[in-house]
Amino acid sequence: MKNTLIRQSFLGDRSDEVLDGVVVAVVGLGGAGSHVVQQLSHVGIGTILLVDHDRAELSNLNRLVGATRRNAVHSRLKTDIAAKRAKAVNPEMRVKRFPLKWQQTMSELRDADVIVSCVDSYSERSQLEAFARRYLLPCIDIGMDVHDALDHFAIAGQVAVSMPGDLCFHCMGIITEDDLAKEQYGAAGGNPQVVWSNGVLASVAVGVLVEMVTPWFRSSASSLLLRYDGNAQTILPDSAVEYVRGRECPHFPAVEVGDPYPLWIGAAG
Amino acid sequence: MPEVLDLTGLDAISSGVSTFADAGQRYVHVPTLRLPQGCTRDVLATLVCMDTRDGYPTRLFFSEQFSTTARALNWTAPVAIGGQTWYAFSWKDVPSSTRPVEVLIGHLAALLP
Amino acid sequence: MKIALKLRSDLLDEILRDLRRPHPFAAERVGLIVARPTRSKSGIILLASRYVVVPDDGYAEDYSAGAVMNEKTIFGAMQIGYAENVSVIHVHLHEHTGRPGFSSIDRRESAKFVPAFLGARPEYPHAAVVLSSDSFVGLCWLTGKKKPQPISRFVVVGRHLRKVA
Repeated sequence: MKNTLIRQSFLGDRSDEVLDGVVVAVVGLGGAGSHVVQQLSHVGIGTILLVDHDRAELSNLNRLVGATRRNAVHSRLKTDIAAKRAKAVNPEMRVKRFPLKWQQTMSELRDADVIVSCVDSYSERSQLEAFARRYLLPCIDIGMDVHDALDHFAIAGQVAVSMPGDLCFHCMGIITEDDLAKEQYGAAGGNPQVVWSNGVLASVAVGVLVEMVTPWFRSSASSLLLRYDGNAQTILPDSAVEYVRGRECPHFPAVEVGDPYPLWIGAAG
Repeated sequence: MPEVLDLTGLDAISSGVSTFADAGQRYVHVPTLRLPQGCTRDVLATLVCMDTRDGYPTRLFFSEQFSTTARALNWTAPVAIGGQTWYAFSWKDVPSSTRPVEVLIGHLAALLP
Repeated sequence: MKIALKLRSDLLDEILRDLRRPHPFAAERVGLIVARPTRSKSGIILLASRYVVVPDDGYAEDYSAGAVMNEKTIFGAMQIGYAENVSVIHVHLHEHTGRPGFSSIDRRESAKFVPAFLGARPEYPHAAVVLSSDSFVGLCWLTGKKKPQPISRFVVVGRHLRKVA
């Protein structure tokens, strides 16, 4: 067991080797993604793929973990900020940077073991989940918003796992056709984001990921939806999901994996 | 929603036309679509989405972006379908049909003066 | 180029349950995994989608090997590859823990039928895999390559993600 990970030896005798062998793709390196990257570097994940085309700006500084004012003033790539933070914690971590839209990195993403989705639109979330399901990649998604609840604002969010073969985000009601059509997320405008809520959600997501890859605890469910109430400061399993648990996901049939035939043969040439 | 797609007419446009499903939506893959004159690309692979997507009744996706003398095209961000990257431009609603060739022609009207 | 095989944990459970059933005369059972491939940065990944049980009457009464598929089964596998545009993977089980190996008989038999799968659907890779109770080994045939290539990575996807490399 590595000295740096001795305090998490309860994860298993060879958990440091297991974690070192895992490849995690973090798509979206904003408020949630930057938290996730930092934690994954602490935990001992061996390889991380950092995907985000965006650059830091001053309005990110309230939540972008690892970013400095200088980074924002100079519009540093979010991939560079996240990579620097990760390597500072764990210089042995294999960090690959993709300052691109994730749709332009699918060849690399297929080699990941888990995708952590920290994207900021229903459309992106939906596409990324579809990609993850097709290539048998568990997808852990983080979402946060602020609603105008008449006389006060309400912070809400979720951590959801879309596990191939189990319920998907559509089954769990996180993505609907209405959402995709309207593409509205939150009532407060300008997609409000705060560091403490992102931190809660990112921490839970990392905990779910570690549980998935090490044998320290066997949870009862593979697909998962945890709802965050940022006013009551709670994060709890969504009870409504249990009503659909056990049914076959109609959105991602089990046979729809791998490249569709015309796209596989088209790529051969 | 139409259950069976009639691919008649597409073989005159391209060889190797086939269909597949992705995330609950039906796509017709047209591997070699010759674009109208005035386009900066001659031949591209395309996908005709026969089901409602992103608020549109149908959509036409291309393997690459291009421009045309017919009008300025407003390209959307790249989209992942079937594990590959595709591009679409904003165009009027083209209703769905049992005949993908009708949908394809409806979308290609954007490339004509 | 590296080759990987990924499958869902519930599919693996289904496969192991089937392969552990006794057969009237064969010493082992065999099965067929249907998969679709994709290309990644590192090479090819075979993604398993379903399992096809070889029924009791799908075996040849041939005691030179633990289990031998008869012509009907081999033809059926070729038809699946051709009709469904998929990769076909032959699988059987060595009931022990730790990494299994291809016996010389396994290699001999695989080299007969997997190229037949390739003949039916040459655009796709096809493979043979040996399971143990907790590990895997595999060989993959590709059109244009004289020898099969090892499958270097197996990933089981489920509530507990497991990688074998």
